[in-house]
Amino acid sequence: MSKDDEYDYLFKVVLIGDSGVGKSNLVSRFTRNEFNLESKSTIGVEFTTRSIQVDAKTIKAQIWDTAGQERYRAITSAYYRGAVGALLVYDIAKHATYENVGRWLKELRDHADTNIVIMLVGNKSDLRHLRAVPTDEAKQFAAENGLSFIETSALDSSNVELSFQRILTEIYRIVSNKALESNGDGIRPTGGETINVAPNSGDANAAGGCC
Amino acid sequence: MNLDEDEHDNAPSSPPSTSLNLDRCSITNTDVDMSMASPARHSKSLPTSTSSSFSNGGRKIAESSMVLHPGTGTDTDPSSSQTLTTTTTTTTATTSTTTTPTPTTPVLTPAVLTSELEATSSAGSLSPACSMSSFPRDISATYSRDRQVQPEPTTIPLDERLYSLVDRRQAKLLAKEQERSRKWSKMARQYTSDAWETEYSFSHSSKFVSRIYKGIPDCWRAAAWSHLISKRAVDFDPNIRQAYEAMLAIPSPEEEQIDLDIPRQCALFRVLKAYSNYNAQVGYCQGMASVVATMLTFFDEEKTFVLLAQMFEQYNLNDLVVPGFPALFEAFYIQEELTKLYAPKVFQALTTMGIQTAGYASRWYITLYSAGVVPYRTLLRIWDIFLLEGFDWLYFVALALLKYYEPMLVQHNFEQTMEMLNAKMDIQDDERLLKIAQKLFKQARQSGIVSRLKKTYAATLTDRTDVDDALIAAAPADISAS
Repeated sequence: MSKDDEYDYLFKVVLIGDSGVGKSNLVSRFTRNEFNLESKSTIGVEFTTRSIQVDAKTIKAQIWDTAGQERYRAITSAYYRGAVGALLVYDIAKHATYENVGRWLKELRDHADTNIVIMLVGNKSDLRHLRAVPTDEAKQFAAENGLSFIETSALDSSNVELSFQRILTEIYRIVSNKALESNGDGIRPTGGETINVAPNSGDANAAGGCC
Repeated sequence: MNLDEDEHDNAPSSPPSTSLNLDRCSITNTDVDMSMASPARHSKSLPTSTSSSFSNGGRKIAESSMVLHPGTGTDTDPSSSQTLTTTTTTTTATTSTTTTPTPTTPVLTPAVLTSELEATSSAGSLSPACSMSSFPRDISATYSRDRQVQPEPTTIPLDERLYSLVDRRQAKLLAKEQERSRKWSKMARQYTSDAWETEYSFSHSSKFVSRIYKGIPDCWRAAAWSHLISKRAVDFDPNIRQAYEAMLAIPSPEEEQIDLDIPRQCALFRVLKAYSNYNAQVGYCQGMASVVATMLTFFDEEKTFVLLAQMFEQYNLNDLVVPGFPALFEAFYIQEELTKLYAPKVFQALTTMGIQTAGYASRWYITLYSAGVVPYRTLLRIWDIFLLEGFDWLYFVALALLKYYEPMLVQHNFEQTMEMLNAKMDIQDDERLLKIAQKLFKQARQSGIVSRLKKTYAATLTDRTDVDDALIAAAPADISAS
């Protein structure tokens, strides 16, 4: 059961953001160093892991990549629970994806744990000539909302490693400080268990009539 | 649309801009069924080019030396198509002959086989599929860059004995497939539809049903699928065909989203766009693309649109993909309950690991297993029975997949299991998988368990709020709060 289980910390991280901003490619770049120009759309949630070292500790990241299409939030929002980190991704070349960041923050507030560490990620930084979201503007927005901020390119891999490193380190600092305060016990992040994926009550009447 | 998308449109005489290409949309055939014959492409004949459009030669099937020349079917002019149709019918009765090319279209030779399999292979074309215009393609590889490259000749093991082994296995499969095709042609009754298409109907005898469970022969698949779907949709919108053009012509609110996922020039894009207009309640849901792409490997655009519309309506697929996903959540519930009942060890293992159905099965249901869940040949078998039996069958496919992997599931940890269930499942033995599913499906049908579970689920929904509260209360404290 436990051959892959050698780690000091296990952190659940989710990727959220509009459809087509490059969430899946960020994950594949980070976990497998792959990039796929014609990557297929994520249906529901997808799961991968990767371990990194911080302060000689092994931190295993359990990464949950989510579908960006709006209607999929009915499924994906259940996966925010238990996540200690979130990468909120937008496309620097598509202003609308940045405008929606506020809605995604609300999603996190509604469904995720209050202490979740959020990093705002402006992806596709390789598209310099098409930039629609100025770095400073996003940086300022992040600062005002207590988010970390980074720009990445899954295509040319700039900052991808760094973005995950940073958020995991940040979580690690918080968790290890907390552990110190409470005598170091009980840091056993969950393996994705007890995720409630029932539809919202609003959908209830629609379900009854099937088949 | 009066033009079919033409997969061989590299040919010089193909209409330059109007002909559409699935290949351009990179639906690739990484998983061609070694057992041979291409499915019939169910399409209208085209007033386009004839001979020269087939000039781009054969496609190599796996490592064998068998080469089939694509062509015919989609690109013939109406008159020659008529002739072809007639020829087809007559040849269905005679086992030894192949479809005779009409004089006007000398390229209609169904298959040119360069291997010693020639004799057996060409006899396989006694079916509507004698137009070998397309191959099964692996939809799972549709958007995947890292698709497997066909091995170069140099990388093929040069051991002659290996070749002969492959060939012998192939020959056996071919012979079996032909035998089954022959049986199917005896069951089929040909007619011309209102849309001037050659269609086939089958009487729903127990023989027909059991032959579907055995797998529809590749060359009969399009005809059989079309029959199974249309049969359920007798009173369906009579103007559906005309709707396609109309729905394509108007902008769709979903267009931007579809465009993010699918290149605009694709037949796939157009069918999805037209359907999003036709069924505004469903619109477009990510995942539908691979369903449509699977259909497009068998039917032309317009026919795909028609069958898609009928299928969504008659197989209750609307609730699977509309916002809120009611039928999907219901499927999760039913699958979990069935697992508890029929695969208790799997259920125990998944529960212990904390794996919930939504964590892996959304893709299974929403794409009807077509988004690289199982190998392509397995997918076709699953769809054969799905189109016969209806949506409930899909619960049992899920159950069979879990049971098939039970030995691994009970040993794996959370991550291994999640990765396995999220990846393409490497089903080696289709028969075993389908036997498991079929057995449980029949058992369940006799006991009426599925409809009971649906009622129970509906009842839990009425006090959903209470359930939600209870679940939230029962959830363990998150780690950052610890």
